[in-house]
Amino acid sequence: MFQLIPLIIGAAMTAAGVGMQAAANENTRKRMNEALDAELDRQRRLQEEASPIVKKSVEQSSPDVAQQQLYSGAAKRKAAYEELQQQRLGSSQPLDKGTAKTVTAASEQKKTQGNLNRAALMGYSEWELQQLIKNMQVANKLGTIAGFAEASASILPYELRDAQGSQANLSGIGSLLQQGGQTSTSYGLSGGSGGYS
Amino acid sequence: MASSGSDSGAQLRAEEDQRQRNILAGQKQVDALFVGFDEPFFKARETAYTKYAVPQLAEQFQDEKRNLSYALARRGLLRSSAQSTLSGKLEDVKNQQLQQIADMGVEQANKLRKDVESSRTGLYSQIQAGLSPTIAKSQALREASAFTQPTAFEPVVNSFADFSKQYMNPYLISQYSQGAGGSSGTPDFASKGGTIKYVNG
Repeated sequence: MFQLIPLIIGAAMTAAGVGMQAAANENTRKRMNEALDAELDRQRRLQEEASPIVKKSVEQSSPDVAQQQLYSGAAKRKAAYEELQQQRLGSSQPLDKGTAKTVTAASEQKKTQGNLNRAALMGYSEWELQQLIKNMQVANKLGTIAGFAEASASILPYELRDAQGSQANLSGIGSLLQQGGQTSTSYGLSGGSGGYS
Repeated sequence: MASSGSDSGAQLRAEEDQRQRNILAGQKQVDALFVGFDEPFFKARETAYTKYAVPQLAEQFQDEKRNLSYALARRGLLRSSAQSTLSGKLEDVKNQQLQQIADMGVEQANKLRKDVESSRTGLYSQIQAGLSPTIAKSQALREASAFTQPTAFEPVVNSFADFSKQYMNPYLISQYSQGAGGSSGTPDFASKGGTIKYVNG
């Protein structure tokens, strides 16, 4: 004969145990998803921070910008040459006033052209400098962001492990209830003899 | 009741958040200290170099000019086309040397600019490697002050040595040879001179 009460208790305990384990699993899954979503969100925000920096850097490396920097560099050099050439070098006087006149017009033109030519060449130095500094600054910013992203991602496995372990108690109790329920059910089915045979 | 597992992930996250805040704070401190490295600061280095170099060039120019005058006078070529040609050439060389000094000044400023940026990068790296914001600040202060120290510049070497060797001496020799009816291997520019012409005599 079956014993009804142990059977009912066993069934209830098993059901409760299964339910608790299911809840634990669901909570674990939810927490793991939350940890993953949070990390994805952090990575997305860091990427959003980095994207405009990269975009701006690429724009600043365009031929148009290079042209502007070359022009600006050449203008800067030309101004520097003219500033120095306007200075009198000590008590500089022409060797002879008459010959100086014939020299001046031609040499002035030559000087101006020489300044322009050399300034145009040296303008490349300014472009290289501007690009170098820009790249260094961009690398600093991106390096910081990349470092943050890498460090943040490296923590995720620990957070997932925490999430997995967070429902251990609930799952354990559910498992105990299930085992208790099974024992009680077996007892009820055996008619209270305490065995299956 | 439900949670019982380890919270090492949460602890690591909190530590990482704090580390990132420290890094950003440290970088801000470095940036704040480096804000003084602006255009006028770099221009000052350029000006310092030109102020150092131009007087040396001026002295060398005056010496060379005197040398030229004496050389012309010794050959009776004052107020001649030779004087006009060589004066023009000397003027060209002077202008080229001034260009060179201006370039050196700009390059000095550019080098300083690169050094400052490298230093900033180095400090950023150290901060990311774990340097505390307080130590980073003091290190940044030390590095920043180093850039404001005066730098020893190389002296301007004899800028007109080539003028004497390559232009003045060969030209005067060629003028003398041609005046005496001889011929000589003269530099290209000198061959334009031909016979001596006296101007404003």
